[in-house]
Amino acid sequence: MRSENINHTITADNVQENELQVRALSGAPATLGGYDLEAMRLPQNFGGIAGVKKVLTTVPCRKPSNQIFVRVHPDQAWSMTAAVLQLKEDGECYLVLPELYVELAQEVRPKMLYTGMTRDGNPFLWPVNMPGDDGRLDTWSQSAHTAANLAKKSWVRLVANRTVGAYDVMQATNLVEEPVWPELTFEELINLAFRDKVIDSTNHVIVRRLRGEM
Amino acid sequence: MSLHAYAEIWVADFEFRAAPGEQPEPVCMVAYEMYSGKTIRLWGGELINAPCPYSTSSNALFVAYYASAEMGCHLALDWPIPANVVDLYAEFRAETNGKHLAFGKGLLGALEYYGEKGIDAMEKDTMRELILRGGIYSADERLAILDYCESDVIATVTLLKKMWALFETPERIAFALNRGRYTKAVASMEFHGIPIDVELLTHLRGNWERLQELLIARIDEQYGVYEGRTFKLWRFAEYLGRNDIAWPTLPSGRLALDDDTFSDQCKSWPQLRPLKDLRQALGQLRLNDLAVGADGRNRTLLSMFSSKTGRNQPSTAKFIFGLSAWLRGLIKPEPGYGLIYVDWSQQEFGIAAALSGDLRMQEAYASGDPYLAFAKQAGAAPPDATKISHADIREQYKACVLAVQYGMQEESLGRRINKPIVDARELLKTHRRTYSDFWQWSDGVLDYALTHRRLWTVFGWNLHVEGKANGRSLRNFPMQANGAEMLRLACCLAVEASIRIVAPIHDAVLIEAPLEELDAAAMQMQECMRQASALVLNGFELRAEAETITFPNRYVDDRGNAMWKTVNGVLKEMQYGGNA
Repeated sequence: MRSENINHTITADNVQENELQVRALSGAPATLGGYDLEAMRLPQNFGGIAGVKKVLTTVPCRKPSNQIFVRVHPDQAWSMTAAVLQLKEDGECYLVLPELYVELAQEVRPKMLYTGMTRDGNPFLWPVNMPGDDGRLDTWSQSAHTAANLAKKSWVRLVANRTVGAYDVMQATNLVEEPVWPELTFEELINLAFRDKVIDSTNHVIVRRLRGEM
Repeated sequence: MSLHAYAEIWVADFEFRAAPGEQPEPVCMVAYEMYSGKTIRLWGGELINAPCPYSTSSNALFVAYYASAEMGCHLALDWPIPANVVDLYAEFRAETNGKHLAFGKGLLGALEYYGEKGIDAMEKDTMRELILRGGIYSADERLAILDYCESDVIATVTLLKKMWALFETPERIAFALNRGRYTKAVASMEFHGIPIDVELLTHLRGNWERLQELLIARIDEQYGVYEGRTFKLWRFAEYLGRNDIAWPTLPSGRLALDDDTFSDQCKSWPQLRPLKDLRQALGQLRLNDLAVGADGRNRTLLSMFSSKTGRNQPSTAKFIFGLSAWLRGLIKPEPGYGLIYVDWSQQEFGIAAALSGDLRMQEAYASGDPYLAFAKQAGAAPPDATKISHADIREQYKACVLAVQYGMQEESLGRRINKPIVDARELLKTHRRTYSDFWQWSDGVLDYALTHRRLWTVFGWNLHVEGKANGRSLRNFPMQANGAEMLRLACCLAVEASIRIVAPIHDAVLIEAPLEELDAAAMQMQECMRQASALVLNGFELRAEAETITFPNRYVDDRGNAMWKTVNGVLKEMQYGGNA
């Protein structure tokens, strides 16, 4: 609202500066009929008393999209090396029990599983190849490890650079918010990510499919 | 402590007449004291000449149903205002707000709700007609009116007994007294009324038909959507197409033409505002419903506690602030007086910041410009950005903050900022990321409302959630309803400090003072509003800003300024026989 030919605008600051002109208010405002209204304020933290909490039911295991910025949990205890079978066509990862690793060495790679987080608050496991039996590691995976380490402190995005055969790592310098990590243990997170996706025998349907047995 | 602590409990009811825009004219009064059983019946001159016949002191309690009416009669009779008031209407609303009430929220409905009966509704209507008739009453008629008045007192006593158990805790009594306190402030505001430029209003009313025709001719020049007095949809669609304006449609595919859509679209396309104002002006019949008394003051029932959020809900036809924004130009201070419009700065944002405990949001509010602060916090503007250097960015982030408050989705926000949906989506995501504590709290509000089917304010205004719930409204309830608490409290503090409030308006008040006291009154009102915010928000203070209007200037709302000027131009042409 404004008036024609406004005389002046009185701001909150004017009030503070010119407190002499503020007449005392009659009565104590917080006290009403002998009651201290201020002390009777009802809580507004409905979430704390609702008894409802978000339950994490799905944790994907995949390389982050080249269109989103991610962070990685800085605690080493939130990552682990595991034998992983990655089905590229299905975009799915299977955890392979260590005792089967030798037998399935053709299909399985040792991978570092980092705990990642998107800016929308969705956790995921980020599998990155570890060196093979020959001790060598491809440049794609090397750059992914570098990105994951950088993501422990800042938001990063990975973009494939086929010319150099590695990921370009985009670091967001303006993003200051910190990720909120889920109230789960790393073990619980792993269990969610690999629920129904553990290869515990060579009879597993995925192994048989890869071997052309079905 | 319970209500028993009061030495006297007086239940009272007045019958009165109030012609449109006029102060109440008490006809009779009946009061009943709960402990002694004493009944007082006063008629006409007995009321006017007598001092208040019951105690209004701090150890007495005054109880009524819709107590602002009784307080208005006290003001009309120059009786002292009771120290402690409990309004059973306000308490019934607070107890049942959101519930479906088969018999309504009147006294009879409240009695039915608690399994009791009042007098027959038909009989009530007959008696009301008799009271409104006025003139000289026969002895039988007087007796009938007094008996009718007493029957309402008896009904109120019955209701109080039914509701008595509610007031068992100190908190519940304090909340009831707090609402009762507001009925006194409402009576004061209704009693004073808003000063209106009656001469101009009379001129508008007298020339309304011809004025409408000329307004169509003048304003439609730039749109070409009218044929005679008829708004043609296909012409409007053509106009939108010519000007490349995207417009929301109904599920049927037709253009949405409701007021809300028009208002929303005017924010993105300000050039449409004159057309919107014209459509509204054509819908208003001669302004005859605007309730203006012989003293040139607009007075009407403020309808306290009417909305679900507990806000006032005065008639949109009788209350000057319910009409189109341009008509507020009719508000004009009297000679020797000024008006001051005092409103909280970004009240909803501040409430959300305080109640959610989101420190970044609080920091943004404290900056004085939460919109720019939000842009900075999100990394969209550098720390040294100003309103001028980053005006566009600020506008976008402002639109996003408002969109969150209104529950706007990405499509509407996209239209509002005139950007693709993806931009709007990203802005809304940025709000969620920047103010994650607020969103977590907001999720909690919704979770609680959906599981426990109830929400409440800091001072106990309840919302019951029945049937299919609207998630956006539930999330917004704490901001709106606590905002309403804040305004009520500020009005109480101000009226108790002898500030003359003439109208409460959502998150603002309009006050009146002699010219020489104007500045002091403005500062005092700002102080009341700051105190009220701190009381509601546990010490978090909201800023309030004031703008003064002194005679002979008038109130002008920016949104209606263009229309106001057009109307005045047309009126002058009519007066001086121009070519219009």
